[in-house]
Amino acid sequence: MASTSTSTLSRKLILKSSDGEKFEVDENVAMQSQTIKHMIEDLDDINSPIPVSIVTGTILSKVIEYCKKHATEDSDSDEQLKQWDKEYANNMDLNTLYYLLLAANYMEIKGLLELITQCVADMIKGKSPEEIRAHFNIKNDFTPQEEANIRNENPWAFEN
Amino acid sequence: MATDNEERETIGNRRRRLAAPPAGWSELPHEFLAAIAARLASPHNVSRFRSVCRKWRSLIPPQNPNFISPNFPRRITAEAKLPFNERHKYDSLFLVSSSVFVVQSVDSPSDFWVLTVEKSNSDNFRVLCPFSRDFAANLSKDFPKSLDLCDFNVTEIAKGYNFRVVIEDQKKYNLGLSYSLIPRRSLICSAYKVIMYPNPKSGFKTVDDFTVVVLYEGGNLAALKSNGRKLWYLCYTGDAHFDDIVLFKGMVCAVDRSGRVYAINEKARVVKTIVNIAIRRGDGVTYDYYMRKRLVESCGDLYLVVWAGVCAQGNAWFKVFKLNEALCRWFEVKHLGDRALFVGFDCCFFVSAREFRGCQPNRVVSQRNCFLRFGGDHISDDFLFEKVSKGVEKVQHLKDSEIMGLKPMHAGFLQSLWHFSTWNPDEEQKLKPDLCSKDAQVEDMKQTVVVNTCLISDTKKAEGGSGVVQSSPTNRAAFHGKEVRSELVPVLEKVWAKYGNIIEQSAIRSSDTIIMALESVAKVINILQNTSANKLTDHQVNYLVSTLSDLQLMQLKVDWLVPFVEKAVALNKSRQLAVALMELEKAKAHVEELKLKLLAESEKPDSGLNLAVVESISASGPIDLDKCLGEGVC
Repeated sequence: MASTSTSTLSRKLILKSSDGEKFEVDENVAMQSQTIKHMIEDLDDINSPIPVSIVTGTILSKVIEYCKKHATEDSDSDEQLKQWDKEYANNMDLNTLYYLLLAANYMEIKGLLELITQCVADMIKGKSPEEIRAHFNIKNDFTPQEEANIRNENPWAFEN
Repeated sequence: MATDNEERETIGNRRRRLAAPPAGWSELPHEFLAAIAARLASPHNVSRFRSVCRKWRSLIPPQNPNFISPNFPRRITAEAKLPFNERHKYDSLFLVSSSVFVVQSVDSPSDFWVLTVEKSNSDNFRVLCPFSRDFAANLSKDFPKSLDLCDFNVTEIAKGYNFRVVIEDQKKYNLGLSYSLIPRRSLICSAYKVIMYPNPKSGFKTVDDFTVVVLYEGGNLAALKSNGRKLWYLCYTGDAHFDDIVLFKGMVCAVDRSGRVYAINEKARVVKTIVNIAIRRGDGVTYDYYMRKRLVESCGDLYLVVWAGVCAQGNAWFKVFKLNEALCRWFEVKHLGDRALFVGFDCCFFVSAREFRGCQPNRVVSQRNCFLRFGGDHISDDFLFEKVSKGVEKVQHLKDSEIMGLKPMHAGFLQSLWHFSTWNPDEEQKLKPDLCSKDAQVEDMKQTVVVNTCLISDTKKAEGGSGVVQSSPTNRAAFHGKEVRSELVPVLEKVWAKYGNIIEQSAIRSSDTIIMALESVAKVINILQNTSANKLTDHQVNYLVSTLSDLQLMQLKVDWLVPFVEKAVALNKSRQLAVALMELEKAKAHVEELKLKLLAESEKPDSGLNLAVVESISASGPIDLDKCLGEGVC
């Protein structure tokens, strides 16, 4: 049934965030989310708002921004899309990234999930444990002894 | 569109700051952490990731960051039958792997080193001369004993395999010590190139199930197979004349003297012809048909490097070809662009000159003997490098259409490669002009030196090992995560109790240096506490003063030590003065005697003589030369 609507005007859906904010989006934009896709299939009345229960309005707007970009196929080359993704992720602060990660997971948007995971991984790459802790505001909960053991875990010892 | 505007409005109105995550990054569910860890690319990053907090550590399985082939070195069963081991029928043969790494400091990633290492059987690493099979001798004194992978990023840029001969009666291998070092020429047997790849049937899952293809003397191929614990010799082809082999798109490719390329199966047989057209001679370049050609795999492309002779300016020339798979032939590459091509014994690779500061683009950098001259038996390439080294001081700017001058890498030359950023081949040649001509001599010296280092490292181990960091658990104890000599720990603990963490603000990043610094602090305190001013030697005073100034330079919090050291210096000075005073006293007695004799003639008093000395002593306070110097230090 969805395939019939792709040609001209696609249907509109209303997404409702956890804090009650409503977003009207094209169906093909919302369908980027596997969770919503499954929800629509079970839905009788598509005009009623679809609750996205754990995602706040602020985050949902960002998710929609991503989905819109990726719903409009063929408009950009892969290269351009990658560049857009990169800028999109780089513009997020850490807290936003955190909630986006949860949202992408909940809404089952594979591309976004991969993008955010990669972005976080890139932040970790090349940093020392201390720098990672500082960056992500994580408390070092190892005892000094444990930490010493960790540090001695895998050194490269040279024989020369 | 109305809906769009509406939507934008909603978003705009509701824009606000997000609260910090209630649980925080450390409490991310397992699946997210696993997904992130999977994208960290290198085991070193995963290792650091696991070192952040307990939760992360418990959820992410450990990876071996010593990822230079966990299963190597591997002993070969029935090595006496190997066609390429005829000279060492009674010795053990081991398959080893070596890797070229770029080592970057986490703190200053633009500062990097290039390191070629081989894993020894004791899980330690041996440093090789860059891109060679020779163990590095004469490492500089500040070369670290170990690399803490929390502080360094290590990226593997190339990997190669090779054989090592081990003399059986020394039993070193069995004792778990490093294998003995054999002079180079016999060490490598006659294997020119060794390739290892996992057996496809194993689904690439077990590292134990693999095939080894060996190119050896005369251009012949041999195959070995590993299945679980055993690594045995399979078969060989006797009458081939291959120059090089390489793993390209999952298959072994071999190039023959004419530049034709063949696919080789796991039984060392030719199964397919990939390039059937010999490379063209001519173009004014008289490349030597008998000079070994080298294959390079890079980013899914196959390259061929051909020695093209020495030009009038004394530069060596190469031609580089790139495989066109569709047309089944080589096409010449006119310019390498930003890249430099490194030709080593066991691996060849491109690097970007932009990323490798100090490295010049459009160059071939090669080890000696990588382009051997074939003619029945191979002939050493010494004469090539002689020719090159004569003219190499006049380095010419090469025209774009011409391919690359060669910078031969001589033994002494290589040491400079540890620190790539300071590496400049041109300058190096100027600095060490005599090294080129004396290369054979250097080679010989190296063999001796290598044997010596082996002996030394063994003795060190026997003594409890100050040489190898990980083998000395007996006399070292952990102190705030640093392994310092255990007898110094109580002293340091007192310091910590009284003055807090003195290394907190320090400029030192390397844990080895911190350990050294801490030990110096403890030694200074020991001297201060256990030595009276009477016994203080000038040497000790020098040690105190120089160590303190070094510690201050490293920004350790040692201000509290300053008065004690100053006092020691002052007391030492006054002791010298006291000695002088005694001398003076003696002299005075002597003078007194003379004076008595001369009393009749002269009655002038000379009490002013010793006044200055007494004054200078009293300036440094009341003196008790037997009192301990470090009273109250901690």
